[in-house]
Amino acid sequence: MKRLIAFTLGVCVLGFGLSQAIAQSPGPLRIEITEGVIEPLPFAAPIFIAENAGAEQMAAQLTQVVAADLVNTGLFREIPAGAFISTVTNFSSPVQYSDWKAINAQALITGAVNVAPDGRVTVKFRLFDVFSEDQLGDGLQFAGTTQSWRRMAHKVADAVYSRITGEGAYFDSRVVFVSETGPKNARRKRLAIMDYDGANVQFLTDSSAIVLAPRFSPTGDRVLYTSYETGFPKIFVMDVANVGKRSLGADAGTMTFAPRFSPDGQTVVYSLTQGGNTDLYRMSISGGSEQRLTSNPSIETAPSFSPDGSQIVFESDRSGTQQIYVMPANGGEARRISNGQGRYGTPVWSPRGDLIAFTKQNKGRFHIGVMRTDGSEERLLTASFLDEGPTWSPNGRVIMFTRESQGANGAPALYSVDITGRNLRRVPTNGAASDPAWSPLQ
Amino acid sequence: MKVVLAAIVASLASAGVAMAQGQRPVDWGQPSARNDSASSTEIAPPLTGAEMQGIRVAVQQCWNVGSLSSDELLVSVTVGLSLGTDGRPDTSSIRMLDHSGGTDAAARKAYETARRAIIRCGANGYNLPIEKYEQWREIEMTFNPERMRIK
Repeated sequence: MKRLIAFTLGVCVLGFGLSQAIAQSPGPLRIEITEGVIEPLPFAAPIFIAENAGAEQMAAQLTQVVAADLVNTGLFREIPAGAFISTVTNFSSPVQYSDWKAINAQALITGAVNVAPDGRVTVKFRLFDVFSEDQLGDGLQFAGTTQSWRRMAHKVADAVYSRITGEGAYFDSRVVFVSETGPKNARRKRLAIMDYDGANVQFLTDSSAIVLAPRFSPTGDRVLYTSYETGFPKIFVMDVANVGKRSLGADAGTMTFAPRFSPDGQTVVYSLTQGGNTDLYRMSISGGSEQRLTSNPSIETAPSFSPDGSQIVFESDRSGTQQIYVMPANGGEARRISNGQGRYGTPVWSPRGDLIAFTKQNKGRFHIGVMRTDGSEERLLTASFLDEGPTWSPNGRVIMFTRESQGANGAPALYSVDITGRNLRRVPTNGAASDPAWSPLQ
Repeated sequence: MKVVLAAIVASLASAGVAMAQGQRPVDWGQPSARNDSASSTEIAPPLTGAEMQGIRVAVQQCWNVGSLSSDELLVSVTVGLSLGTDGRPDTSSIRMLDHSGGTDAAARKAYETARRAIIRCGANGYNLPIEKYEQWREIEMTFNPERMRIK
């Protein structure tokens, strides 16, 4: 009996041991990846298929613009056509993934262009994740005219960019700016508008009067700006399509400047100087009475609404030096949010609402920077002899600004930088340019 | 006594079933591997730290977060996958198991980037010891971009 009990206990122990082994049997191996790489994503964009003879040149140009848009973000690298193993001869042909993997193309963009006899252009494209051997999203098709082929290219690039990065689009947008000519001490300034990449420049004003600080309406169809055509700074609003303009408010003996639209496009906030004192005001875009927002013996200027329209960020020297403040959109107590060393100015609220871009002057250098809306996490993105006047891309990922070079022959130019501080680029303009303002997405 | 023996047999039988179905995740370092290529009763040693680091580094080299948006850089995604005995990922097995810290849309983009990394750098097979195949045939990789965020 004792033996039997001992045997039974032994079996029980064995069973327990097995159970323990079972409890420790291998399941999935768990690994945490915390370090990655930050490098441009290689993509291939074979020239889009020309579906008829009239489409050949446009297909080539359009593909080039799509690729340039992506490359200019700094997030993508185009694989030169000379490296391609596969050729794409038919839009509907299956993708030879192995050929694209072999050249390390992580994304593949294929497309086709058709130009109808009546000048109507159709562009369609597909995007593939090569290593996953999947199509990313559905194919898309855009229609337009031969004059609008660049916009269609920007739309294709926007779709590719958004699908891969998850960011909002921004290529199909425009920039209004001040085009400058002549010597440094006698510059002639005109308002001009162009595609975000510097193409399709059109002048909105002549150079008979100095113009400053243009700002788009939220729908992109109107521009606010300051003109000296009366001899004093005064705010005007212009219809971009027909360049018709009218002045906004302001009594005789006052100067108005630094205007900006509210997010709903119904209100303008601006600076008004009277009796040597400058304060912030707001008024309806259709006219009517002015509402005074600040009342300080200091200079209050450069106002910018938060995207929800509830707050205004602005610069003021009420503390003795230029600093950035935030107040309710109808006025009231302002709180200072800039706390670093140096002077801060030209604050602009990000369209995402999370950051404020600004110009900073410290120790003889100028910077473009961003900070949280409470002033925390300040980051300087640039440094130079003179950087100023940031404006946000419609998706809040890129900032454009003016950089002026040093010396007697120094001239302003437009630059852009990613909010990471990477990818600083000069925006191509024909001649000197300043005061950029980015439009919303078209 | 017959009752006692019957209970023991039943216990062993149920243990046998559990052995066949055992799928509990184990953390790195737990000494509980089996070796499928050898007898099913043999216990293979766990992956060494260097072997673990090897696969981690291999995936990191292909985890390109440069094209991730700031929203996606807030998302940590856990991806499950199976590896063949040649160390190559079975692409059809790759799936998102979990995510935290962001929207579903941001998680989807973050997952796509992680998936791309796994496939790209595993194209020629991850360098893992075949005798420990049971230890690494199923993997859960958590891609945590906290250190890669914009500062």
